[in-house]
Amino acid sequence: MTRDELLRQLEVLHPDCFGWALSCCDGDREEAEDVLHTAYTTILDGRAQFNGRSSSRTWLLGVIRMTARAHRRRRLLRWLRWERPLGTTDSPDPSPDPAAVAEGADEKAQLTGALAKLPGRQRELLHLVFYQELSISEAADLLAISIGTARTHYERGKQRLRELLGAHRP
Amino acid sequence: MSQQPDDKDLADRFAAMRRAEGAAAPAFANVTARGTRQRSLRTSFTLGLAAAAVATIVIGVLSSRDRNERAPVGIDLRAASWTAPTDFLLDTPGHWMLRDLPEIASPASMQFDTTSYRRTSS
Repeated sequence: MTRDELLRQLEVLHPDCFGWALSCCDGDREEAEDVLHTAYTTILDGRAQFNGRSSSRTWLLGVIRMTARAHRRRRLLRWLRWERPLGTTDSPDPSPDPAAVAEGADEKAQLTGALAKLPGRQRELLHLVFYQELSISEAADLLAISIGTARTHYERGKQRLRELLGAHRP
Repeated sequence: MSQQPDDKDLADRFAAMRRAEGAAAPAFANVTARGTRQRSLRTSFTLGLAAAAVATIVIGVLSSRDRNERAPVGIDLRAASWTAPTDFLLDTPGHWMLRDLPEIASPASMQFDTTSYRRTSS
């Protein structure tokens, strides 16, 4: 695949990748953008190569997940070394559509809050299945867990999420 | 896709979230171009800190060495001398003999009677 083709494919998948990066970064938009930048650079530089064992989409989400983990480790190390992060020099993209953002903002906040209360594994599985529309087996492959474990986390996650969302309803 | 029919409520919520986040996502071009300046600033900051630390150490070592070289080297013998409370036990009779060399008379002071010497063999 040429670099231009790769760029085009990344661009098509970019909105979903951003959602996944947000989920991996606990909703921190700045960090999610950093993670995406690093993941895209890694892929475009050829340091992460698609081996065809899964779909390219699953592979891309896997790269983003690993990058987010590496970012988290680096942030922890920086924090341990008392190296406070510098102020952001690149302003976040000012392009979000206000109408679209306003639409369902309340529901989104409820869902985000409920997801934040779930254990990490359950949160990741629900995101991959419902948001990214992967199968449980694809999600299990991406998270490097067995399909049985993935099913258990998925069912428990759904049940807990419903309870949490039910508690939000008036 | 593994969603079940009775999961529609959750699927709808996630779909709404996906739409909202998709609309709020930064432009792809901005994300790919992001971070280079920030990273270079961060690198410069780290390098600057490291250079300052090295300079501080070097200056500290050099100044302490200068101070040591300029300071007069000497030992206060009064401070070094010390008398043990049991020293009196060494004060035995005739202890001076242990500290002084015995005096042996010099050859010049010896008197030999050379006239009384007789040769017995021819």
